[in-house]
Amino acid sequence: MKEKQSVGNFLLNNAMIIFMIGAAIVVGILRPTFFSMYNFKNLISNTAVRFIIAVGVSGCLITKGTDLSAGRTVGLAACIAATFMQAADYSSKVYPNLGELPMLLVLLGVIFVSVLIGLLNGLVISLLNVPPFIATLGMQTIVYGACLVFTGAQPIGGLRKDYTNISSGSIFNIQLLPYLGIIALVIGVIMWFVYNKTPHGKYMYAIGGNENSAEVSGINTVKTKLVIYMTAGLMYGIAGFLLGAKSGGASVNMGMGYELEAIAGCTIGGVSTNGGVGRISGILIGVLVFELLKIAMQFMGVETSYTYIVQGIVIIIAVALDIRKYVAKR
Amino acid sequence: MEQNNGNRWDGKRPDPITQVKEGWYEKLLARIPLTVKSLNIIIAILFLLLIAALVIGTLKGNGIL
Repeated sequence: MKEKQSVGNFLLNNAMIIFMIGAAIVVGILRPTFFSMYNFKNLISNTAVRFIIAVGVSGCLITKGTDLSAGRTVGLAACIAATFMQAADYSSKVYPNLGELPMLLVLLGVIFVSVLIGLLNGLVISLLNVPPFIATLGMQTIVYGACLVFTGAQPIGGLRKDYTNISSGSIFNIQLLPYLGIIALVIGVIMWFVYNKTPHGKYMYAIGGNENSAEVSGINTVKTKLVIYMTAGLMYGIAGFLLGAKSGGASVNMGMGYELEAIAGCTIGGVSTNGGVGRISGILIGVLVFELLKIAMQFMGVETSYTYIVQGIVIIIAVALDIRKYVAKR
Repeated sequence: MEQNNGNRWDGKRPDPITQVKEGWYEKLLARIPLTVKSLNIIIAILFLLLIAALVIGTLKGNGIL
């Protein structure tokens, strides 16, 4: 009886993942090209960028926070990266007199800006005690405005080949090993180490479990939260840089709504919105199955407007399942 | 706070730290009687909505509906 119950609970707790994998299998049977190598590479590339964003958001969620500025920060990072990675001979360059800058310098610049945004988020949340939802919502609008000012609402194109190669290239020309996938994997391993093997990781889970107790135990909650939001900013910077390369250009609307996708991926993957719970491997699975569903819908020719409805329902189900887990534990 | 008497916990009523621990879910649960059973029903309805949206979207997208 107990065994039956635990199997039932396992199936219910992972219902979203099971449903999405089932849907993907059905689509694969109906549309055989779904399981092609090209599609698989596409899935890895799409998942890679969103996984990096989700890892950034996960730290905020684990401490009972959130980051609604994630998508816009990624967009701004992509716009900055694209602006400074334009080919020298491109006729509509944003800065015509600017020569070709080293890629690493541009990456560091992009990271600096996004970490600064994360730092501001962290300061407002931890020092001023503004609820993360409100603080990051405000930051979302500020970053969007800054992006409009920076780009003049003009799309940026004509990117350098060495930059776009990051997204199109793969190790030893093996389709299954695209650079984007490898970069995401390395970041995943580093963040797994940070979450599980460092004091910062332990503090993060402690704050998510019970902030007051954590503070009483001597944990510097302000500093830990600052580091969490700055790390999130770092992730958005890297993701934005890669997204620019992947898209072959950038515009102000880039990254719009990515924060919700990231939160969805995290929640599907077992990161609790109630804080204190979440694993990197779960986030990877969550983001992967969410992307799988999106690609499956494209293959089935689901009307675009309905894809948004489906994604919205998926997010609500994921949160409902999370609440169910919490209620069942009581 | 009511539990504190001159910054000392009287040991009878719930300790303030434990109370704060519960967070917004507790406040929500106090207002809406959420049980595993009622959540199962809500989740089942949401899954049905999801399937309906997928089916209608596919039919519309392929010009059948």
